[in-house]
Amino acid sequence: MRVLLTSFALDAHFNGSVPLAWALRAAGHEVRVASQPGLTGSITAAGLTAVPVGADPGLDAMVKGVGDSVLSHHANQSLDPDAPGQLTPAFLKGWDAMMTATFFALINDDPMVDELVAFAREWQPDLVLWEPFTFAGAVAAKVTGAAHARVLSFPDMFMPMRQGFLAQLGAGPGTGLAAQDGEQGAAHPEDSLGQWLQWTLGRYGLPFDEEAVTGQWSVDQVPRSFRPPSEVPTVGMRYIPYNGPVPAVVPDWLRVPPTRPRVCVTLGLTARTSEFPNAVPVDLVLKAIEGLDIEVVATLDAEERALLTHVPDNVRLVDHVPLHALLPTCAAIVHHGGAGTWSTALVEGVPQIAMGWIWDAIERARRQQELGAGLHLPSHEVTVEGLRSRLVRLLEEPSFTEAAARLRAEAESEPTPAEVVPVLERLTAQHRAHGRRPLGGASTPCAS
Amino acid sequence: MTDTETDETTPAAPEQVQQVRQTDSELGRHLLTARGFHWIYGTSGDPYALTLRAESDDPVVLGRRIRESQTPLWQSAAGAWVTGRHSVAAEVLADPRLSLRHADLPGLQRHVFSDAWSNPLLCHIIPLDRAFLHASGADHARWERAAAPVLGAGAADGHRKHAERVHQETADRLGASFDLMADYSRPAATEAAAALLGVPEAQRDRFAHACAALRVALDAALCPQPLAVTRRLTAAVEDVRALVADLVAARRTEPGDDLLSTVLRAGSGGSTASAAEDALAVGVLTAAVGVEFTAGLINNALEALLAHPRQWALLGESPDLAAGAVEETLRHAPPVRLESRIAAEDLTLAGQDIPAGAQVVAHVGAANRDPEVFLAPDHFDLTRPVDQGQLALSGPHTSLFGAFARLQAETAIRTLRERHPALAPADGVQRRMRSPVLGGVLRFTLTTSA
Repeated sequence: MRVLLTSFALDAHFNGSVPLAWALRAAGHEVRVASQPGLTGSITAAGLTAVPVGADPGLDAMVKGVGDSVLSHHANQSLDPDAPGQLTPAFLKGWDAMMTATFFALINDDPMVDELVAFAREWQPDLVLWEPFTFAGAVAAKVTGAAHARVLSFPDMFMPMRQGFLAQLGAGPGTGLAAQDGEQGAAHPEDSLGQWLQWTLGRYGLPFDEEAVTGQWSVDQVPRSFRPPSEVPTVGMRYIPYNGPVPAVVPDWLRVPPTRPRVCVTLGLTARTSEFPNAVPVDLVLKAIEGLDIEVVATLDAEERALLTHVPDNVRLVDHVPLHALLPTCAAIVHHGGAGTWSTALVEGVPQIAMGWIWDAIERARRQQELGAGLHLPSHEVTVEGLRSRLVRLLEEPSFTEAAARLRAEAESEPTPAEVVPVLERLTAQHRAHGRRPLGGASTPCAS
Repeated sequence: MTDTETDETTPAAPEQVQQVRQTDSELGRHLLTARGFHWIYGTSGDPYALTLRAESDDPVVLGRRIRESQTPLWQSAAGAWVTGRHSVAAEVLADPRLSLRHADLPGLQRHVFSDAWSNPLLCHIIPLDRAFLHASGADHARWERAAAPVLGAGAADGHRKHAERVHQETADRLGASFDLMADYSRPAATEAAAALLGVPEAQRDRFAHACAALRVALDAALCPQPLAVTRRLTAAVEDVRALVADLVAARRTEPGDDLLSTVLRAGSGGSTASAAEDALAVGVLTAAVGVEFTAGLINNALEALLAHPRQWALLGESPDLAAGAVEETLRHAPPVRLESRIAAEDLTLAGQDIPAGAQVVAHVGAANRDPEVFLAPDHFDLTRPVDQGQLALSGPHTSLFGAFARLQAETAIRTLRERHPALAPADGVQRRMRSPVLGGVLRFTLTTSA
């Protein structure tokens, strides 16, 4: 079959779908990866076939201009059912209004959607797999009658918030204010995301329905312990680390086992290449590990190293090392909270100290701590003593390693991408519009 | 600017201001982005941004914060210079250098977000030139002079009998439970406006339909409305223009004593076309501003009176207090809360240097509760001495329809008090979201018997 995979142009959001793309390709399916031209290099570096659509949406300018305000709205929000004052109607409304204006409608701008739809009309995919914020994929699928699904490579905070938001809109007014009358069969007038999808689908003569937000099903690569309840079917899949387009090379020192417990310190790759800020006080982090009887591998680039006043003896500074090669040798990891790092550590069974401060990172870290496989230390709360004592606990208390091993086992109990391919073939046959050509793929004879 | 726009070169020249045709995606995205900004700027707690966000925050509390800001005139994160102080607001409203439009933008007051994330222009969210809402001070002065024989304070008494009949008929149709806005204020205000313009019976439904869609006009300039609401608004502007233009054409051959004929007569010294354009402007503004402003004043007056049973009782004893009740409503809960202006030149205001092109907003609702001017300003008191300088009728739109709205509201209060002395709220007032300027009422259910 023909599978169109799409993600907006940010490595951290694209990387998570690469192993599934490989599996589909290896099973004989045609795979195209559509994104803005800025991702073309990353797509081809992953060995996949790129279809550039649209132009640079200007995400960096947005983050520079209003990123702080948008993030501050999301500060201290959590899906923790026991936390008070969470996900209030006002928060959810602002989330919908701000995120749609600054992010969803930006990364899926009109040229991007139009060119993706044009390509899909020409290429006629059977299945569109889309990164969970790349709603252009849902639009292209609906226009062409393809089946479509979201591919999740980190815990899904979006959907519980979306559901909470819709429930609150449906509950009606309670504050002396009410929305103006909407129209039958249309998105609620106060639903920014729905409104935007409605006029976007309207360009192709299609009505809006919530399926454009949810997909027909999800492929979810996080262990069940991190999955929120879903209103669409979930196909579980094992997360296979693919750590991005930076060449993955195993250095000499990594070929011999460490003599002391090894701890990885990383700030990820996204802050290096985008305007998303690094909030981790990296100098404090290294001070905190000074003198501990451990070996630290810190992946820091020149700009990050410039923040250091002193490099302790037990620290090996490297610019980059593939995490999936490094982490199996590590006893713990201290990181910025990013999704790729978090997921890789999780499937490698390594206890984590996550210094997440952006809402989704906080949620991952919070849940990780709740499950006993790590500790959350928001970057703005980092002190030398606080971090050191947490790291010592991680290394000395076996419960963290045991919990991390349990999560690893949970991750490994999911089917691999290769095992998921036949499931996707069945779901695609079930969901795509009728009367189209038979699905090709593994069993299709070559037409040579 | 798109190629479908043309510039207005001569003020009030007919048919010079063209419509902009935008796809749903283009217009929708613009509204969405502006709305996003109001949320973004509100995250820091900026009370003007929160006012424009027009969600569940109490607008009176936000108005107080705007007024009590350390500097009397301060710049909001949303770009505008804002004041809630009475003295500064009065200055803003009286300063001819502060206009409804940009001095250097001759055509539509339309701003495209090209460099949106660092410098959005939020002073004219959508261009409402076709509804004559961004007119120059000179145009407004001419319209007000021309309309004075019908809309001026001196003409009010001449309309009283008609108003009484309209209000009595409207009140007589009310059931035991009714919606003040849908069943009383808007129909009575619409009927009165239709009579002013001489809208023929056959066109009354069409006129009422257009007025209902125009209810968001004053809000839409400062606060993005949902796409469908915006589309209904702009369609209604075109429809009411067509309706009024037909009436103006008819009055040119057969003049009467209605508002349009009066404006035509006033302009008879100039060109026929400009007199007709003036009549069109006044007619469209009657629908776009006059109706909702009047209905809002009635709603706000009734809300205050019913919340103060002793004053409601007092009104029963002395019906002439209705004028005082309206005056106090204009102060305490003005139907137009925000007045937005653009500086035509660099100027200094309340010690601040305001560059040409900057937006200046007077918060009339806050200024009208300035304790420097009004004793116990949050208290509603229909016996409060008048002429203390409330600013509710000091803008060009509110000034044009002030006498008309006053008469209608006064008649409404008298009529309802007399016909339904046991009037009481069945529930709280429901106001529209995204209505920072008008605080427009969606629903206000009242019962007529205890």
